[in-house]
Amino acid sequence: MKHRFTVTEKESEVQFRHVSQDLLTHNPRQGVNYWGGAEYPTMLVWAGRIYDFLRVLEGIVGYHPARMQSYQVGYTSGWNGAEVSAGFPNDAPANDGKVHLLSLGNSILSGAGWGRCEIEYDDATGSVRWEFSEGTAIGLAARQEGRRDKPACPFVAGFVAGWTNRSLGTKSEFQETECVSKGDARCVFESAEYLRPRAD
Amino acid sequence: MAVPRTIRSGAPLETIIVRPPIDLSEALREELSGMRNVPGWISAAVTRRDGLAIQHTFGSSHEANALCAMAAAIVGSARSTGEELRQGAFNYSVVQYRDGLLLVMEAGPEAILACLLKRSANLGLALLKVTQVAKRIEERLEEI
Repeated sequence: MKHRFTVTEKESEVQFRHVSQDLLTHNPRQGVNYWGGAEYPTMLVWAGRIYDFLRVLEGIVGYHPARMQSYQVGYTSGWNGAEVSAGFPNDAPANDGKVHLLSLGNSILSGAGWGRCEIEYDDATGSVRWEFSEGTAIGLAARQEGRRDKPACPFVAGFVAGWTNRSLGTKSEFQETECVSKGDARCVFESAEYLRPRAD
Repeated sequence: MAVPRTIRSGAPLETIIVRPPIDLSEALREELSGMRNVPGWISAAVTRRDGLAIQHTFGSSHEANALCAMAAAIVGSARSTGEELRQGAFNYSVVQYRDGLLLVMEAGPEAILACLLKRSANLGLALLKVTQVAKRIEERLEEI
């Protein structure tokens, strides 16, 4: 069975108010924000600065190790985001909990300003696809810096991998098959059980 | 609205390990185990160019994952340095520590072989063996 989860522009507005306002609490003593009751501090960061982590690392160790280092940080972020969201009250049937948690991913991302996306999940094959039709915030920031020949969003690839794996209990890896920073019209992340490593 | 509580679960990075096809995995394990007869050999790992572990002989995945990520960074840094200094392609790297040696070599264009050896290991013999194994790993990876 194929599942498809979308966020309309209207829903994105609603999610923005929910995710970026209702779920944020401010600790005035620390001057620090907390999200969704989690103990991790949360802050606003320019998307271009997330891209800078990749760019700086690329200059030192090359694209492939830099990609994985960014991916791993994104992975933890996605995993923890799903972990916190798993504690939100929901009315989904018990046997639908995993898919329900996966479905929350795009509304949280659009509400947090990462980009509006659609998630497709085929429970027969286990394949999962996250498509950001307008690009991710990081991809858009990277595009402003100039066109690249390699994807700019390994952080987001790691994030969707962490979110997906925490939701479905899988061990999938994600690859960026399309990226706006390369001149593609959208950013697409697709799951794979095992990726054959690629030479430069 | 109820404030959700953060629930701790297993370390997320532990779940990043992505297993290669079983046949390939066994073939690589066999190749790595073949290095046991090199005097001073401790452990070895094959990693993708991005640092994601493919196969290893370490006692814990955590240890292997850390080495693989660092081996990829070593190769990446060495290649960048070579390009910067116009010294040509990267061949291999030997890092000497007080207690041991780390030998890192590309196993074809898609993978890296990292070997941990005792400080007293015969480096010449180890290099010879590691070069042979790296070549075979390259061939194995071409099969998939």
